[in-house]
Formats: sequence, structure tokens, C-alpha cells
Amino acid sequence: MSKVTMPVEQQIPIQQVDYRAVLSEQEIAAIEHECSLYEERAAAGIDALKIVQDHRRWVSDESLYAIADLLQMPVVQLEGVATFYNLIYRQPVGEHVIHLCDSISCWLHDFPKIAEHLKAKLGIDFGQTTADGKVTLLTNVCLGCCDTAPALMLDGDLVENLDIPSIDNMLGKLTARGGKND
Amino acid sequence: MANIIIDNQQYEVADGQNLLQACLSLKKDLPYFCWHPAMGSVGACRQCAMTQYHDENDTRGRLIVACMTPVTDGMRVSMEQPQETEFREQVIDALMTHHPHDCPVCAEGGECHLQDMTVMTGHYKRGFKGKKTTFQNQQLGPLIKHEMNRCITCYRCERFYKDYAGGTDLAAQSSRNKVYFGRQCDGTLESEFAGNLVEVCPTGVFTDKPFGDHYSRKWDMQAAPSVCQHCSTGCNVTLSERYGSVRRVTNRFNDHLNGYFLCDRGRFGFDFVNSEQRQQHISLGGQSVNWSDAEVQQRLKAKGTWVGIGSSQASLEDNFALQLLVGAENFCVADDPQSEHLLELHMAILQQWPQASLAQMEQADAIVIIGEDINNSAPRIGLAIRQALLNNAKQQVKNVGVPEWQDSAVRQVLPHNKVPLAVVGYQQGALAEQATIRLVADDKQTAEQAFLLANLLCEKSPKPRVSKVHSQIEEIAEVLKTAKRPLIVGGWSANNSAVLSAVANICKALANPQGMLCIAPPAANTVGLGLLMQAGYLANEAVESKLKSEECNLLVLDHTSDSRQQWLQTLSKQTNNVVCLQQLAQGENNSLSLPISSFSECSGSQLNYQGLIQSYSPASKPAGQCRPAWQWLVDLGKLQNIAELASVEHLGQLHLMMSKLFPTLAEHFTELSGRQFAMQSPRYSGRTAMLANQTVHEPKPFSEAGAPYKQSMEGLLPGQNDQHPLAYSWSPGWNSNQSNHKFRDEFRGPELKSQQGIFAVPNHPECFWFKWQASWSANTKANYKILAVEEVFGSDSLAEFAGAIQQLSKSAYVVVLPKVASSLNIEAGQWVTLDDHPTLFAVKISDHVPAKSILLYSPAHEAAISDGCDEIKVASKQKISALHKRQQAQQDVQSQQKQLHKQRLLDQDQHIPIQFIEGAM
Repeated sequence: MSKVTMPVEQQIPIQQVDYRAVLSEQEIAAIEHECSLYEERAAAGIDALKIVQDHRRWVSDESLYAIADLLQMPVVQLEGVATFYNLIYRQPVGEHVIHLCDSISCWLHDFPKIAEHLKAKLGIDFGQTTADGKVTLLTNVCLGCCDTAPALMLDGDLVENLDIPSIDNMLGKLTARGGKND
Repeated sequence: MANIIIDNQQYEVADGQNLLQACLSLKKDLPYFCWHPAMGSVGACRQCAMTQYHDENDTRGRLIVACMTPVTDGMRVSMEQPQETEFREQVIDALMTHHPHDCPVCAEGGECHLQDMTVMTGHYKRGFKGKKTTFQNQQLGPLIKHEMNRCITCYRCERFYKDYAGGTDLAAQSSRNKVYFGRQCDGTLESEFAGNLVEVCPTGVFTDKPFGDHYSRKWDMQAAPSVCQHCSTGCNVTLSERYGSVRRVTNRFNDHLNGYFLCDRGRFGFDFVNSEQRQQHISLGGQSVNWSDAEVQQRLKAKGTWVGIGSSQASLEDNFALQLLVGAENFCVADDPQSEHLLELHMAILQQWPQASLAQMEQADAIVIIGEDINNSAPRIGLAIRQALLNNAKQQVKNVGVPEWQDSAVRQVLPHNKVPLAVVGYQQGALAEQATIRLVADDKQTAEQAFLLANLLCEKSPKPRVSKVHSQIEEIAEVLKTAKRPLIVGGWSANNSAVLSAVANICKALANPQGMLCIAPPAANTVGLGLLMQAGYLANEAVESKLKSEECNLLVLDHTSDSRQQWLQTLSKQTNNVVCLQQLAQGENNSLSLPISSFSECSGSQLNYQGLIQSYSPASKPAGQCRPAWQWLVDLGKLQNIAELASVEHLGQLHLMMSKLFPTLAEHFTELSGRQFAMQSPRYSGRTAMLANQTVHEPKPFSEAGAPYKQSMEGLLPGQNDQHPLAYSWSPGWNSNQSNHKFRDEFRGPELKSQQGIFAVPNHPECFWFKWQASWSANTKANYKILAVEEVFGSDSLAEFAGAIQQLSKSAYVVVLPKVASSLNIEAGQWVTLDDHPTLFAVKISDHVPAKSILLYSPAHEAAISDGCDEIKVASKQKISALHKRQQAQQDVQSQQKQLHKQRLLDQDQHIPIQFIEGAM
């Protein structure tokens, strides 16, 4: 039975967070810029989450509360936005994030084989991060490139026409590249 | 009207509604989930699918969702063809992919809308082969239990909680088959309307926690139509009973008052009737005694004048019997001179101005709240006002041809189409934060500015001493001049006669026949006392001197407020003979106390804020020696040879006597001739077995003389007589509260039907100006003026006897201005003391505090504090640690009591008080 749990990084509920104590000046400035483009501050929620994730790789509970404080919106509403999108990470992820497409066309084009290979090569299951904190493996519902299936998304870039060698090649580069997520 | 054809049958239905409303109003069984009569349509669940045909030659048609389709003249639809019935069955199949088959252990089972709809669509076999998702449930506080696995994602909870009631801590989260409804993290739901989730949720995701602790199936409970006791709105409720104890309160639909929703104080506060502190025996100075004891008899027959003190928490009948017994000249109606004055004034205003019902208030296009904390004094009215804020947005969508029940369209345009809401005064809270015009002022300034507002609207309106008009008041005047249906809200919160007078003056100055007024009195039957007051009364200030000057006996009707207890302590020094009629044992002095039935155990009537008379019926039988107060008073009348009262044998005779004095009431007190309503459902189980451990005889069903309800399963079913309210709502195939539509039209139409019922306070069309009185201009000499504020949980002394409400009650706090806080060097959350008052107050800081004032909240059962204070000091460490210890101890006691309470109720189930069942033993 698959188990879905609400994100529980911090067991102690955070009641009130002053955004200035959590977010950097850069982040605040970028979020304020987004706010200026919308009629209501809450509308900048998605952008704010993306900005914070760009700076910190993922959105922690503390960051979530801080953004809600900055946007003057109920935190549960922002949580609704954050958990709706699979590209907003509410749990820590590795330096690189792989989203392997598991939709119908990719399934027909060897998804199970590729998935098994990826998992074996990285030594992790879907939803996990390698022990060295380098790579997180996730699935994705349709990347919109059925004509070039099977496909995955690596750090926001599309990798198409996957086969075993191209995956090995990609993972090899990842380990060689190392360092920051660029 | 529109002619529509459903399954080749022609029907005439009202324009402006959607197809689902039309079908339900035609009493057709069309399944639905996400649509709610009070919340409009969003088309989220697709359950009400039908087929629409182009014309009579079109045989294929196209699937439509009934709740999103307006009825149009000549439209052809079908509801029973295979394509839509199969589709509806598949929708249920899809909605139920994660639904566990745990109906036998689910509190919703037997009154579950999902069960009903599943049976109605004919779905019986699970098609989905995948695994079910298991969610983690949240702890949502003492009122609501969360069981997320049962969710079918209809979005009703979020739409009620966030959109309808303005809650900010529950929302939909995640996506696809992991959609989750809950808070960001565990914690008590903040909204005082959270309890409605129990009824809004079509299945068992949100269930009633206190009810779950002492549970019974809906079909096994005896239900009685009743009226809420926890504020002056007079919301209609249903009480459900099993094995002699009241299990829960649910909403009883009333189109002009509560509609489909209650507040949590009303839903969970009833539990005081099961409180351990309920007095069950006659007691003298704390010792149990008998009626026939010489000392008791001597006390009851004592010579000298009997002074009666009425109660706004007791029924009209009880107060009337007391007034008869002691005579109007010895009947006191208030605990202090100020409330007496307010009551007099209130009645004078009520005679001049009819009060708007909640449904009428929902139609307002401008709202001005003058010095009233309506959110806390009458939460359900606050919720109605919140709905009025949508009216401009509704009009806006109508202007572009979108019907107003298209809820998401309305909410889309809401930010640009706000209804003006002006708040004058010092009240805090959600409604004040929504204000488009807000003037923070203390009670005196509020009254002055409100008098000036009336003067701006009409030059003839008297002016106060000051003449400086705030810019906000000018703005409000402009809003009121242009509004079509303005609503003025006032009340007793500020405890200030000038505020009340000002509100009446604004109404007169407005001179708008569509204008509406609402003045909220503090208790369920305050207006009832006001009515009796018209037959004469003893002034509050005269009570003490009367007790001093002559030999007097005191006869007191139950009231749980702290001010009442304090006053009684003072009075008991003046007389040796105090007789209390009380339901909850309070105070310990040398008084004789007679145990009385609660509202759940006897019939009675009360007048709501409008002066509308409403009656409640008993759901259970009184335990121990409890009897209705009026019966004790009749017995006293016999002892004291008060001929008029002594002749009363049943409530009907008392009603006749009341009708003579107040002829308007006569029509309300008509008795039922013929068959009575059954209070037990036809499936009530164990009727002949439930008393088997005590007697083999089946007792005769109990019913009061002339009452339309019978504590039996034999009698009329819901809907078989529309003269009297339903005992419970049920219809074949519709076991949940959604069965409501079988008994009335779900579509109200553009014009409200006029409110049914008898308004006890006669209206005098001629009205006069209230003049500014010199005494109102006095200022307090203290450094800080204390302005009392209320809380939904904590300020109602009666509900504090309900365990769940007690758990939610806040401890005392003060709200100060930021500059006061910085000058005193105190921070939010710190504990302070005021002068030499023993209570510790938590500090809150807000900009919305009037200058030179502090706002103060103190729980109902803690000593009240005077009007002003000179010094705010940070509390000493010892005091704080003592407080923490006390709070910890209190919490321990509360959780212990909760367990004991539960155990006691379960034990009690084994010993039903059969001696009170007619014909038993």
C-alpha cells in the first residue's frame, strides 16, 4: 500500500515566522518584484516558491512560512500551491534532479527497463536521493515529447530518445561534473 | 417560469435556477455531491450528469452537468436514460477509488450522503484494480475528527471553510489522487464555524468528536426540534437522544435564521445538560433534602414579600410563572441597573423597528456595524453579514449574464466588487478586518460619532456635545445615502445605552423603507424578559433597599453568569431565605435550591433578537428530582395560595394565561389535535429491549399534554404534517441531512419569502428621536479606560459547562496600542497585572485600540474588572509560574474530567431514569 504523508520535516509547528529572519535580501527583492506585476500579493505565490527553490534547491517549512508572511497570505493556501506542483520540492533533493517520464508513450518505449537501469545504477528508488546527496530520482507525468520517447528531465533540461548507453553517458557526466547545480 | 421537459414529461419550474435545483425541487432523486444550496455550484464532482437534447428529433443528446446548467424555457433533458445513469455510476466508482469500506466503524454510517448516492446510482462493484492511498490524519482539536482516507474530493469542506466562513487554516493540498484537505500541520481549527464541516462533508472525513465519544446511529436516536441557547439569534437545532442522554446537536433548517449552518458554540455548547455539575436533588446549604422536610416547607411558605429575579437563560414560561408567583411589582429582570436600562431601551427600539432576519441581512448592499462585536455576541449573524459582502460581485456577474449561483465566477470578481462594510468601535476579529471603512473608537466616541452620523443623514437628529465629525463617518454617510438595502448592526457588547440610542437614530435618519436593523441582545431569552417587563417590574436598584427595609424572601431563576453569582452573594446578606431554581450547582451559600430541567428535558419558548417566539421540545426525560422550573413555581403557588398559578396543571394552561396578557402569543401556542409526530425513526432499535435490565414491562411512550411530539416510533413521519417543525430530517433513500430538499424548495428565488412566525413585540410605526443625555458625556478618570471584549468560546457562561467548549476557551488577555507597549516596555505574549487585580493577562498588541484605552477579555467564570485601571505592570515571576502551574493543573483536570465524563455517560446508558417514563413500574 503506498503511503502518502504530509511533509513533516519539522515536527514542531512553526506558528509565526518573520520573513526577514529567513529569506535573503536577494530573494526578498526578487519576490517583491514579482508582487509588483500582479494585482494581489498572493498571486506571486508560485513565483516566490520558484525563487526560493532556485536559491535553496527545495522549500522547507521555514521557507514556506516566511514566504507566506512576506506575501501576507495564509500558509495553508501557499502549501496548497507548493504541493500542487511536482516541480516545487517540499523535501530536500540532491544537487541534480532527474524526472523520468512515466506516461503512456514512454511506457510503451521501454520505461520499465530504463527505470530499472536508472534505479540500479544510482542505487536508489523513485523518491530517493543518493547517499552522497548528488542525485534525486523522481517520475513525471508526461513531459510532452511522446515523439521522442522515452524521455527524462535533468535539472530542467529535456533528454530524449533514451537508451541504456545514453543514460550511462548522462550519469557519467553528472559524476564528472559534480559541484554545483548549473 | 420556464417549461422544461425531463424524460419526456413537461414541468414548470422557476427561472434563474440551475437544473439540479429544479430536479430536486420536483422531488426527483438526482445524485450530487459538490453542490450545496447555500454555496452554489462549481461542477467539481460531475455526479449530477444528465443528457440535454437539441430538440425532439435529437436522440443522442450530450451529457451535461445539471448543477452548472441554467434552466431555459423549452429545454429537453433526460435523467433516466442509460448513458447518463451509467456515467453517474462510473463517477461514483472513480470517486470511491480510495474510499475504505469502513462504514460499520464510521460515525457517518447511516446518515452518509455518499452511501445514499452510491445506492441511488446502483454502483455495487469496485472497478479500480489499483491500491488505495492511505493518508495521515491530522489532530484538528477537540471538536472535529479527521479521517482523510474517506475523502471523495468534492471540495465542499474547503469551499465552506475558506470561502463561506472565511477560515484561513484549511485548504486543499497536493494534486491528482493525493488531494488532501487539512491544515498545514496539526492544530485546532481556528474558525468558530468548523463544526459545520461535519454536516457539509458528504461522507465521514470530518466527524463530530464529542459525539463520537458517546455515539449512537442516527436511526437509533430520538430527535427533538429545539432552539439554541447560546446567543440571541435563536438558531433552530435538532437534539438527538439515546439511553436518556443528549448525544448531539445538529442544524435544523430555518430559511430566515440559521439556514444550513450553526456556530460551534451552539453545536457543542449543549453538553452542559450532561455536565457533572447538573443539580439533581433538592439541596439546602449544599445538603440533599426532601420537599416534605419541615425546614424546606418552612422556607417555601415563609412570610413576607417574595422578590423574584428572572433569567434571560430561562424560558418565557418559567419567567412568566415566576412573575405570576411574586407579582409583577416584585419581579426583577436584570442583574445590574445598566442592563435593566439597556433592556428598557432595547424594547423601546424593538417596538419602533422590526429586526432583519439573517436571510434578509444576507441581501444587504451596505453594512454599518456600530460598537457591536457581532462575531462573538451572535456568531451566526456575523456569518450572515459575511455573505452579504458578496452581493456586489453577484450583481456584477449577473450583469454579464452569469447566474449568481456560479460560485467561482462570483468569487473571481469579488476583489473589485466589495460591498461597503463600515465598522465603528473597538471590536477586533475577522469581520472588522474585512471592513472597507473602519473607525477605531471607544464606546463613548462610538456613540458620539454615531449620533453625528445620524445628524449628517437628517438634520433633525439630535447632536451630541461634540461636533467634530471623523472623515470615516462622512464616508459612511455617503455610503448609506446611496445604498438600496443598508443594514445597521448594533448591540449590547459595548454595554452602553448611548450606542443603542444612536443606532435607532441612524435608522430613523435614514428613512429608507428597505433599510434593515439588527440589535443583538446578550442572551437567548433577553427579549422574552423584556416582554414580561412590560407588565411591570421591580427596578434592580430597588431590590437591595427593599430587602433591607422589609422582611423579604428571594426566589431566583437560574442564570450561570458570574455577575449574577456576585450579586446574589451581596443580596443574601440582606435576607435569610434565598430559594434558587437551578440546573447547574453554583455558589455555596445558605440557599435552598430546587433542581430544574434543562432545555433538552422540557418544553419552553424564548424570544430571539427579533422578538420571534420559538419553542423547543424535550429530547429526553429529566433525571433525579429535576422538573421544569414552572412546575416548581406552580407547587410554590399552591403552598402560598396564589390561586391563579396554583390551578395550572400543564403548560397549555400557562400558555393560555400568557396569551391573555400578550395576545400576540396566542397564535403561536396553538396545540396539535390529532396524531403526534414520532420522535423516533421507524428503524429505532431495541425499543422493547433497552430497559430489559431494569424491567420487563415496556413503558408507555412519553409525551407532554398537547405537545405535537411523542417520544415514540409510532406517529407521523417527517413531511406528513407541515404545521410543526420536523423532529428529524429523513426521506426514503436520503438518510443524511441532504434530505432537507424533500421538505422544501431548494431554490429560494430572487424574492425572499416572508418570515413565518409570531413576533411577540408589537410594532408601533411612529418613532421618536433618542436625545443625547448629559450623563453619557462623563469620562473615566483612570489612566486607561477598560473596554471589555468577548470571545466566542469563553464569554458564554452556559457553554463553559460543556467540556469541549471549555477546552477551547482562551485565558484572559489585554490588547494595548504599540506605543503603550513600548512605553511600558512590554511585549506581546508577556503576562501583566492591572492595578492590584489578581488575574494575570496575556498581552496582545494591535493598532486597532482606541487611544487611552485597553481592550480586555476575561473568561465568563473569572471575576469581572472595573471600568478603568491606572497601572499595567509586568507580572512577577512567582505569579507567572503559579499561573503556569494552575493552567497545567487545570488542563490535567480537564482531560481527567473528559475521561470521567465519557465513562459516566457510558455507565448512565445502563440506567435509564425509567421512573420518569409514564406508566413504568
